[in-house]
Amino acid sequence: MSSISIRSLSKRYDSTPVLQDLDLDVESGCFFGLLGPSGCGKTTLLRLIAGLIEPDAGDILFDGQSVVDVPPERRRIGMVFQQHVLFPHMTVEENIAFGLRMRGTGLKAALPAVNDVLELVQLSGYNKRFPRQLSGGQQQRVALARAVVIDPVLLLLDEPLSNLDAKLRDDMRELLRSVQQRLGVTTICVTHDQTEAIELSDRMAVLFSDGIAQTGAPAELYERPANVQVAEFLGSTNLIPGTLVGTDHAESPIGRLRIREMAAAQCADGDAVQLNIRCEHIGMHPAGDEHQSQAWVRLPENHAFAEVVSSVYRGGFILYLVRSGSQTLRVIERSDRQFVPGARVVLRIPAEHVGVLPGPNGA
Amino acid sequence: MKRSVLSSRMVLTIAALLFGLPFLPLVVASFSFRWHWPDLLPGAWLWDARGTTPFPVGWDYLFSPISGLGPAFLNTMTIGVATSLLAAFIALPAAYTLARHRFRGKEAVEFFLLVPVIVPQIAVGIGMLLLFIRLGIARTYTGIVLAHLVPTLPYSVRILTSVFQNLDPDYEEQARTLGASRMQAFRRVVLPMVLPGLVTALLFGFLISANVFLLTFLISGGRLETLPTMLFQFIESGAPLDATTAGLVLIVSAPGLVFLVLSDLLTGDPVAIGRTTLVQDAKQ
Repeated sequence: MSSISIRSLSKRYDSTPVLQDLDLDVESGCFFGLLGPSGCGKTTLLRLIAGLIEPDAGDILFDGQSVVDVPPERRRIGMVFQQHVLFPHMTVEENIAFGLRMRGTGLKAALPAVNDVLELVQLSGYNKRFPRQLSGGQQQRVALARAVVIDPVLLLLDEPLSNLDAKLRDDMRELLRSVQQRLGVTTICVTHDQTEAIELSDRMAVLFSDGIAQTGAPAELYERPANVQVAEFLGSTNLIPGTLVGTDHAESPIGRLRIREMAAAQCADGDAVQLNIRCEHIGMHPAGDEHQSQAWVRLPENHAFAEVVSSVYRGGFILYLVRSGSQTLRVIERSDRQFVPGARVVLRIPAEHVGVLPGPNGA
Repeated sequence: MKRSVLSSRMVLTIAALLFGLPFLPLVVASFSFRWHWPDLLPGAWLWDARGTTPFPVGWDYLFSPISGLGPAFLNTMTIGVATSLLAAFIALPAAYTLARHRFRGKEAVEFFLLVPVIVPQIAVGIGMLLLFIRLGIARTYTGIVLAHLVPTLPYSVRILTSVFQNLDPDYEEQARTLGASRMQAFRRVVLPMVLPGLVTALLFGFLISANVFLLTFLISGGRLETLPTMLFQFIESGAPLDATTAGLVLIVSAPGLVFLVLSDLLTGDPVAIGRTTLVQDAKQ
């Protein structure tokens, strides 16, 4: 168990910078999710931490000790690769024992430890199988066992669930989490799947090609994204152009909205901003008869008229596309109440869910 | 899917016929005593004429000590095994580097490795002979093995390069993260995984060496006889195909057959070699 610190790390391939001046801290025992689109350099970062490639500049510290000059075999890390996860010419037992044998333990002496981790990943008795005789999910679990059997100071996971189908993915996600908590090993998990990162991580970072956009607890990133990029990358959301009025309201195409307290702390009256409203935070109600006939009826604050444009059934909930004034919004509602396209509705937008992000021109 | 399997089997059958049929008259000829045009079969068989000739003919001659077939066969084997082992030993690190690393002048190195295939062997051979005489290794096994490396190495390097290219670097990196040094990762993970390719390279190296005539002829100066140089004497005499020559041709072809059988036994793929080189060609 170690805390990991990364200090102004840079890496370029040929002349293309992949990582530039990156700083990151991971606390000891933390499950840290590193989320980013493909090509953002997250796998490069993982390989740098593992020591498989060398940084051009910067430092990597395990518990305050620089490991930049330590070869990968002496960093005491466990790593689960994205594909080709096992040695095909070795049995499950030999695969798992490999790390111990490289450290001078005989195969026989390694067996108790091997059996322990096999039990941990719920594959007891699979000792003599070859990888080709295992399913993808089982191979992944053996790879996890092989990575943790050496009692690593750091566990690195590279898209551990990306090659599994949906059901297996859920099982594996739970297993990963329980193994990590049981062992308490500091873990960095790289993924492009936001669900994976949000559900697994204690803390997470969103990495784009220009660097880390935001670090924090998953709920923090989801509820209070630092910028438009993060907001759009995590979950589905509505970004509405607006102008700040005072410190607690904003003018927008769907009317004047009260915003979350302190949401506009960094902006000033009159600034152009983006209002961030999550699809599932918008309430939708049928417009009553009085609304049908008297369009001038005043609605309470943070309410707006809208018309349903289309709907997509998503099992358990429905994604609606609605139009309010000139603005199209996405709204997620439970499927026990359905609206047909063309229906007039009233949207309720709670002020505590209206976030403010710096405007498109970088206010 | 099924159709392509069927047609590939047909192609294989036709190829086997085209390759195998010419051997049929050789087999017949090797057992004939007199076989004149236009007879479909020999007028007299070897076993009919046995004892009527002043000296043994055909297989009888080949397997008698005076033919020198035994030593020639042993020489071919020894030189072939030594050449293929040495070639693989040299080619292994070269191929690994070519497959895994990019470096300045890589194309030049690749071209340089191919040069022996392009330059006429007679030119290489005479040059080597002069050099070897000065070094005192002409007419020795060492000299012949070194000469045989010239046509063998390009193929060994090419085969092994494609083998390494097909092996995902992931495996070595996994070994490294699990605590293996570079050497341990190579020995415990890479080598076992490329073993079929390595066997192929060894067999192919042997096959090339067993078929070299010109270089052996020049460097051995007639002192060391191999199967190809032995066969050459019979062709030189200009006589029509007699039983002895036909038998010898069959024996010289034997390494190829042994190669196919061994390749099948060791890699489970009788045409493994064709596959690896094809993969390589497809990539270029």
